[in-house]
Amino acid sequence: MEFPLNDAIEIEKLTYSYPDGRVALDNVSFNVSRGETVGIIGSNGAGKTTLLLHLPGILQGSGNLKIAGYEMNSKNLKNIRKAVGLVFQEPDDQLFMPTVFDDIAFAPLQFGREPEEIHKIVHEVLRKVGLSGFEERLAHHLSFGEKKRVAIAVALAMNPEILVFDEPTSNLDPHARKELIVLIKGLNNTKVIAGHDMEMIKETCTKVIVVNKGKVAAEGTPAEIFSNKVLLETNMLI
Amino acid sequence: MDHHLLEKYNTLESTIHKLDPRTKILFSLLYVLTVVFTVPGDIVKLGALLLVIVSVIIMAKIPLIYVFKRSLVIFPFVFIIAMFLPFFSVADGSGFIELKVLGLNLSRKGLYIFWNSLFKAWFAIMAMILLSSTTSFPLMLKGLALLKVPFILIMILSFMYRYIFVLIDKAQKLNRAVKLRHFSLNNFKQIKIIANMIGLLFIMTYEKGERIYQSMVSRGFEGNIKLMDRLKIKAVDIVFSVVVLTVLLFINLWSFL
Ligand SMILES: Nc1ncnc2c1ncn2[C@@H]1O[C@H](COP(=O)(O)OP(=O)(O)OP(=O)(O)O)[C@@H](O)[C@H]1O
Ligand SMILES: [Mg+2]
Repeated sequence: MEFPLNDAIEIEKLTYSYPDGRVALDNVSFNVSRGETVGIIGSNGAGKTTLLLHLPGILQGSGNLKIAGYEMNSKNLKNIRKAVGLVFQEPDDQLFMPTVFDDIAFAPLQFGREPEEIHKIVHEVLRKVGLSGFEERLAHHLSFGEKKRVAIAVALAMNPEILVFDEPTSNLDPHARKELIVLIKGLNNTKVIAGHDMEMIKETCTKVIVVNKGKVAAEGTPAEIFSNKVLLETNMLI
Repeated sequence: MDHHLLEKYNTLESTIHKLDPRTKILFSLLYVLTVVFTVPGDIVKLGALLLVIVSVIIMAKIPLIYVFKRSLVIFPFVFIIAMFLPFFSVADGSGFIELKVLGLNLSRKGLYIFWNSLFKAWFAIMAMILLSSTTSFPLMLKGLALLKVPFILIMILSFMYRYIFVLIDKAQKLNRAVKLRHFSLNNFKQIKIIANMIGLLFIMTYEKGERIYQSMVSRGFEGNIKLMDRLKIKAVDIVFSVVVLTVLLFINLWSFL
């Protein structure tokens, strides 16, 4: 095998078009090593969300994907979904159960965990995101920032190797944004973070991938990417 | 919208709030059944049943006046359904006119049935208000699920509860956007805009549904949802059940004693 064994995500020539014919991803290839935090930046409609939805196999384009050591195929799908925790951009899309407890317990239940274990998991992930004691709170009574945190707790519930964030800081007030960045930095999973918030990407990521119109336009360290004004401008990032 | 109307007294601390939702659902049903099987003329039994509901409301620390006010919503429904009953002699089918009030012909039997449906609906709605003000919606759903209500129904109610406020929010935003741009509209234009808004809301909910489905799939959903049973019957449930069952039995058997 030519791939290095320690890669958490390996994507080779991924192409995807939506049913209406729009090509959203065009020949995308990149790797993410274990423990690395990768930022994906690109203008509106560049294909970031589409790319992220491929990681837990929600969307399936053509090309080769290997996630947490599993080839992407229907046989491995369950293991891949256990290994990938996806945090949606809009917490109201992600949190669909009436109470915080039920939402966090959802994934562990579907994957067959025992009730006592589930209580422990819920308690533990709520502590991790700084919301201890929120078990019985109703989702529609939470503030936006709290919903974001619960969404992260939900993604952490299966103790995934890879955490995927879609614009984690959008719509947050400056204080909540700062706290969320601290929270994300404190998690030591392999992370993939998509966003427009350059400061946040700069602060959290060890590698940055620029996407434009479904293609990878550049890849490099944050220092390389953010100092290259021409690159940022041609990709409509500033 | 005011979401607190539904949940206003859900977080009070009282013996009744502490009861298992199953206990509350079953006893509400039992109470309604007892009411339904009461003969309209049995004033003693009616009084006893009123006493039961009022004492449980007091135990739940819910203001009586609140329950009473909310129970008034049932009257228009009963009136519409039962309005014409007094003018017919339904029960014996003869159409025999027995009373004359203000020049109107009323039938005694019809009035009797009218009064019967009125108080039964009123007692039943009070029991339902009591149940919904002492049990949060998620707990109610858990209770219903454990009482073997079909799962699909529980999930539909659960999603409805979760997203109704999100949807109302969206609708209000759309409405505001329309109002900002159009000051004076004739009726025809207004209808056109409302039709557009409904269409837009439909698309929005459709897309939201798609994303919620993606969220479910990424969390291991494979076609049927597993739920967790976190409810336990406690001592207070047993005590409450024994007491209320005895009282209801006594009320029901009173006339035979
Ligand atoms: N369900 C869909 N059906 C058809 N086309 C879609 C769908 N979702 C997205 N697209 C299109 O695919 C392209 C990529 O969209 P995507 O949502 O991945 O972009 P993005 O980088 O996440 O943008 P944003 O920063 O606005 O979130 C866009 O041109 C978009 O219009
Ligand atoms: Mg997006």
